[in-house]
Amino acid sequence: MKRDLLPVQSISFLFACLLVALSAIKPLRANAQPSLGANPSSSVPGGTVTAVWTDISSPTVVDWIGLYLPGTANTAYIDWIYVSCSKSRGNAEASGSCPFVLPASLVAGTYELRLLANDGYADLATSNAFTVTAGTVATLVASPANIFPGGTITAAWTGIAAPTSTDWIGLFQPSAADTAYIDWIYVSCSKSPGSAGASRSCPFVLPANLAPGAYNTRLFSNDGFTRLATSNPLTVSGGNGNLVRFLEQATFGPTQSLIAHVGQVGIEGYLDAQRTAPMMDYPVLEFWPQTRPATCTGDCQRDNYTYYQLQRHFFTNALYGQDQLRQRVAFALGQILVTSQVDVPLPSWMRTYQQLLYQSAFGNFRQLLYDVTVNPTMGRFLDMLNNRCQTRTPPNVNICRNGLNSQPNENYAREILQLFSIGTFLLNQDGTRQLDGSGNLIPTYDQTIVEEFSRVFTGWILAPALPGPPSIGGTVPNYRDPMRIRLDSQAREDYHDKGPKSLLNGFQLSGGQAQAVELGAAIDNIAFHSNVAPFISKQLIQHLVTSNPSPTYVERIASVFAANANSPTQIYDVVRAILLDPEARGDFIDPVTQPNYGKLREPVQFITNLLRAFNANSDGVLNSLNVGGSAIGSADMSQDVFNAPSVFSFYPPTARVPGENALGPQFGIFSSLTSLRRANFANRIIFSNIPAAPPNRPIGTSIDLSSWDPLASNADELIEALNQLLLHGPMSAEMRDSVKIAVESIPASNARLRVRTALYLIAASSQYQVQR
Amino acid sequence: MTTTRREFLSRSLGMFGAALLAVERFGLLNALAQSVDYRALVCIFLNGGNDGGNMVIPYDDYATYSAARSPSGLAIPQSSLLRTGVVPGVGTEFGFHPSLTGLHDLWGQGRLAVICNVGTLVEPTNRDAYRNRTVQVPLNLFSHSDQINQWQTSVSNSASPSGWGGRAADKIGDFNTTVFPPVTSTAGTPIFTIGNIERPLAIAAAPTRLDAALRLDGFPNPPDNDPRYLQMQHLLLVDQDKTLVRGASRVTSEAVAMERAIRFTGDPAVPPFPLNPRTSLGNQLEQIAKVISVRNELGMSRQIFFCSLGGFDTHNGQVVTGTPATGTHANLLLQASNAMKAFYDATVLLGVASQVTTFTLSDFSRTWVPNGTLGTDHAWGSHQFVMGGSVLGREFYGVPGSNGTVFPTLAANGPDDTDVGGNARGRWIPTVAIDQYGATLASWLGINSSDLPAIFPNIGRFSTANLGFML
Repeated sequence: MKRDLLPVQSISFLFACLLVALSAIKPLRANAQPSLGANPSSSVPGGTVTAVWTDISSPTVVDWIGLYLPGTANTAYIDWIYVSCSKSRGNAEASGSCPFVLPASLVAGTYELRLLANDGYADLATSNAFTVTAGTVATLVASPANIFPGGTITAAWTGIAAPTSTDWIGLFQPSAADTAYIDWIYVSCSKSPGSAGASRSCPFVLPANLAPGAYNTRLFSNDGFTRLATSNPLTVSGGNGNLVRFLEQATFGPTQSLIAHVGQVGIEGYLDAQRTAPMMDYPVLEFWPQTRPATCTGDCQRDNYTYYQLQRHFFTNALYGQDQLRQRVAFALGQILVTSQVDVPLPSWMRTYQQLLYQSAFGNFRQLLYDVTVNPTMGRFLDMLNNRCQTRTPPNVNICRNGLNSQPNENYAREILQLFSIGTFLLNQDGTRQLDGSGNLIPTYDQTIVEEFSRVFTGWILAPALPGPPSIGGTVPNYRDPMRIRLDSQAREDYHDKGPKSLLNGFQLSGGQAQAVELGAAIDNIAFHSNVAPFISKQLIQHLVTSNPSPTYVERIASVFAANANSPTQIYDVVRAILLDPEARGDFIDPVTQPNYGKLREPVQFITNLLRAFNANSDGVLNSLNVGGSAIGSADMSQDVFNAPSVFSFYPPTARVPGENALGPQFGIFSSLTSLRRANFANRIIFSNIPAAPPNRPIGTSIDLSSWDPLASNADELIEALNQLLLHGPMSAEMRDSVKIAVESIPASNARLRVRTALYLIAASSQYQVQR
Repeated sequence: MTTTRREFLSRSLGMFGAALLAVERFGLLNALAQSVDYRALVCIFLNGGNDGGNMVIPYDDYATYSAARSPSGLAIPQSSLLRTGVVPGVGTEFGFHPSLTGLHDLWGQGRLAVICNVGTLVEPTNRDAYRNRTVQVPLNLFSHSDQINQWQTSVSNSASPSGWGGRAADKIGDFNTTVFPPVTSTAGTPIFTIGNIERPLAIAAAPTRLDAALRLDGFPNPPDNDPRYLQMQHLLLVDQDKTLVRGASRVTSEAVAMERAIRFTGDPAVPPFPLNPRTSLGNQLEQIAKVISVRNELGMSRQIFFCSLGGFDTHNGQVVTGTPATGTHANLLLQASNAMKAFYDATVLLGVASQVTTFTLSDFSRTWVPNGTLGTDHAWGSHQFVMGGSVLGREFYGVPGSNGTVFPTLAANGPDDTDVGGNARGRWIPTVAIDQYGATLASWLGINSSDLPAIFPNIGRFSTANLGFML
């Protein structure tokens, strides 16, 4: 038996003496006898009866209540609890009550409870008898517990003892009478009766006009109001929360008008329209000589030898472009298939690459990989440009006609595999890593494969030179057109290694093939490797939705990726699936309840989300900014647009949330320095503006808060409106209270300062830095 | 009662507001007796994989070098090398790249040592063991991201959530009588700086003033009675049930508290800085020298600093055609050498030259045999510099390898190469583990030998935990 009496008793004795001593100073009710009641008088196995006792004269922490068959000995208890209501000791209680959960295996019959003293078998009182009838208690669970109006919950019930086809589920406010249902369905899952079911589940679509607040669902028998079960509470958040969250994921930030628009056309309607929304461009930049002519100074130098115009247009496109989804996806792709100013000095060269990403953002991934490979900007950045075969000893012109002593450059071969397509370890389709029989990770390729690909990637040179700008004349390197195949005077591919090559998964290039044929086959070999779908899908999810997607989410998206491998709209299809997935939309599990859900907004997103929410007027000069001695641009927050430190981009996908066992890639650039710079950007834009400073900052950046002033007299309304716009609804009570204290410290007459104070506190908060 | 760093870290997330801490911090400033017991490590990470082969070059055996690197145009002319004299531990003479005049000067002063053929290892590894995989080799050799992580974590056989600088800081935190973080970085928060307990303070490099190296705009000074300031801090303590919010608040709380501390430092001059012209690494080391100059005011006895210089991934255009002593790599080495020399001189003027040790790390070395685009590709073991008044300088250190010396055998397809056959590129298998290199430095900093395995989990697999290059 589990009740070990002896040692406990001795301790209990001491404790009891102490209690007696203490009780001496309390008024005692004289001569009252202990009593014990059990109700209700009938229950079921697994059900609960409430034990109520009074007047234990010398209560101890180890007084206990046992469940018995009437007439059996006190030692023959079936189950027990202390007066703490559990099997752990609590306080001594002269009088009290406890729910006593009957064992699920209890057989039908008559039972009683007994109150026993001090871990022993001396009974103080015996309850009324109660009956236990066979059967189970019906249960009802509604999930998710946090949801938006118009959302779908799943109502799952069990244990209807006598199911009928007209059992029904209603939606209620918690305090409402059973007759005051808001909406209902039969257990058929519709308003038409279907089949009966003791245990089943139904989707229950909440009314679209449901007011935010608390609700529950209830299960009733047979078209009547006999309540069988009540669900957990439901919290319905404000009206547009789901739409606002969607726009945080799919765009550079929700605007008031865009929220209203998507409210009308719906999320899927918006996605449909985005597919064909007119594409924004980067400004056409003339191709200049690599070395700046001495005559090119001032604006000429700024526009042709710095990234000023490109970075500025990146921001104006993000702030004002209609093709938000395309831009957002292109920005994500640009952080996976990276080029950087680090080795691409001229903005006209980078423009070619960024235009390619815009154009390919909704296209086919294999095609994108091919186009990136022959793009001259990538060719320069990762050294496929001018890469040449090695002259063999003895020379063999059938393998290498015009080579070098040295071996081909390995740079592009390594990074296309490691970063652009398959990664370093074999993956399952859900993005987790495969293990071999010994539990070890399995490398996707080795150094030999890298060297083989480096020989494939030989023989490409720039397309014929372009005419220089009219004021300069001459010719300039062609970073406009795809790279071309180097041919000697007899039109032979003299830089290409024509030897046989062994690629991924044992695929062989036999050698002697045309250079373009080999490249196509090699790109196929990479792009159709089974790692690509989970590797790229997971990163796109992380860029758009959440840093820690569930494996099943990754798997669902990877299957869309794989199924559309030959579709000309593969990436669009994948992105659409990412954004409509239950894990993004919260259909299965409300993200608000998931501690690891969401992503830290990267600096660009932080800036554009804040500006778009308040209809900023901006010249787009937001990358590198020093205002009043404070560095507050995205570059100053460690995201220098188009100028990542290396092909590994701004932050590693493996970076963790500080102090946590969770991924948080963007935390790789979130430090004491950059976190304060984010707050300082908020301070600058909310309390004043980024002033114009011609010529390089023609109008500056400012937001208009005048429409918010009327809300300021009521702090709650002001905070709730900001909550809806910036946090899509789930601001915690603690946060609300904190913001309110600061707002109410300001006289209501100073409406603008109240608005600014509330907005600053939210915009600078960690709660806003994290897109959830 | 002063608050220890450890208490600060455990409290800052829960019931302890940053405002209160800032006040305590202010109370500590200037209140401490000068600490004579001061030691600091300064890590310089050369991002991209520095070509050790063109940094430390055999002078006596120049022919071997020239044969490998001349055909591709990468060989530095023998006449331009900065000669070392006969290196005692090797018995032959070497030369530094001609850009390294500053470091060569320190070599002459006995303040600079070279650690040879050091790299990522899981256990001691030679060519046969590597080829036959009879030992565990580091995961994803030749990959930048993985090798950077392994250099910074000293763990090459799994993914480590913390770095060896941060873990060393976990152990030294209690030396300091302050809540100021023991790890300060001018280059973000790479994993080197992250401990199991400790988190780095990232600050702006010079020419940003030290007292503005962290700044929070828009509040009165002092801000303590400003309701918005108080509530901003309070918000950092709520919604702790959300992982990413908690992580962001952790970083920001510390930033807000330390911004208050650093406000009172002024902007001390640390000659010979600033460099003219200013450089990225020079600006970082200048700011680090400034922090060191206010070590007593900050209450610091032990510190670890991190800075970095990028651009070493020289697949292409490493040298200029025809003038191989110039070009990308020469410029990078020049920047590193000038900044390091100035930093050493600054520590002399601050009176802490023997209390500050500066060392380099890098992803990997580069292929001994170049590629066809005036560049080199990813390799493995490399050479690193250690600089300071407590360095036993003018010597090469390491573990003797295939030729009986600490310097590798410079032969593609030779006894130290991973590669075989006629196309072998010369990727040296390290004879020294980063664990040993780091443990020597950490021991000098004051880490007990019993604590080394917590910082360098694989240290027990290697012959020695002290390479002997520190006093």
